[in-house]
Amino acid sequence: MKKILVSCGTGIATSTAVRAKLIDCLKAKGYGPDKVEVGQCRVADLPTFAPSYDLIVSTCALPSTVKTPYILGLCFLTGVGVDKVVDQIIEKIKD
Amino acid sequence: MSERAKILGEMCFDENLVAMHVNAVDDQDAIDQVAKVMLREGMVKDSYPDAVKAREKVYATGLELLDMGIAIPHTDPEHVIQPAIALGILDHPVQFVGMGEPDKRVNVEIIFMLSILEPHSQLTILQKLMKVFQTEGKLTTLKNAKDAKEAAALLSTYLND
Repeated sequence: MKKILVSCGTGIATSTAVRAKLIDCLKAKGYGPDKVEVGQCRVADLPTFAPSYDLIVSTCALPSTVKTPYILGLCFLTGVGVDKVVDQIIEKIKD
Repeated sequence: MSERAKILGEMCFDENLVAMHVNAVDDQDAIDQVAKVMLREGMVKDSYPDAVKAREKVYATGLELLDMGIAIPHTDPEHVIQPAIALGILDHPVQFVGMGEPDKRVNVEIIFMLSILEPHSQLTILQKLMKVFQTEGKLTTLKNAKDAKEAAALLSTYLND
């Protein structure tokens, strides 16, 4: 089971919407809840949670202490460039 | 007091939560003006305007969409009384910092200010709002609304789709 963590500034609006969209996009490409778990947190909590995830998808810059690989998830809000980013995410989480 | 109009029974939104012709000198000024509308309508606590302005400095909310640039300023639930959307249609574009990209500048023409209590119970609205952002033409139509009533009716229709 691969784990992706979605984060944003307050862990409220954008991370909620991004997480939902990301889950849909991943499911459409064959990466449903049986293969990928998608969590959510605000960026201030990333140093605590990030180590137990494989990838972070965020709508804001990350603290420098976070070493987990990261992809900017802005496209899930704007709708621009989603396919490309989803492919990049799958590339990072596939075995 | 009569029941305020609610989108999908979740978030308040009506013409009283629309600010037309917002004339602002910068992003902080624009946010302040729209936040004061939220406050006036009783949706948020006194601490909200300063909290939204402060959050924008740390976590910018400018988004470059197909039609135009917009911003979605918001802050923590502790400053919120009633979940709501406040719409600010700017007189002239104001520069905001891009979300997730501190070096990027977005010329914002519409502000969608949010007061959120529980993100998961307001997910549907957030998703619908994203859909509006991503559908070419909708934002342009919204921006060209002739008054608050028309703008409110338009956005309500879009969100109830």
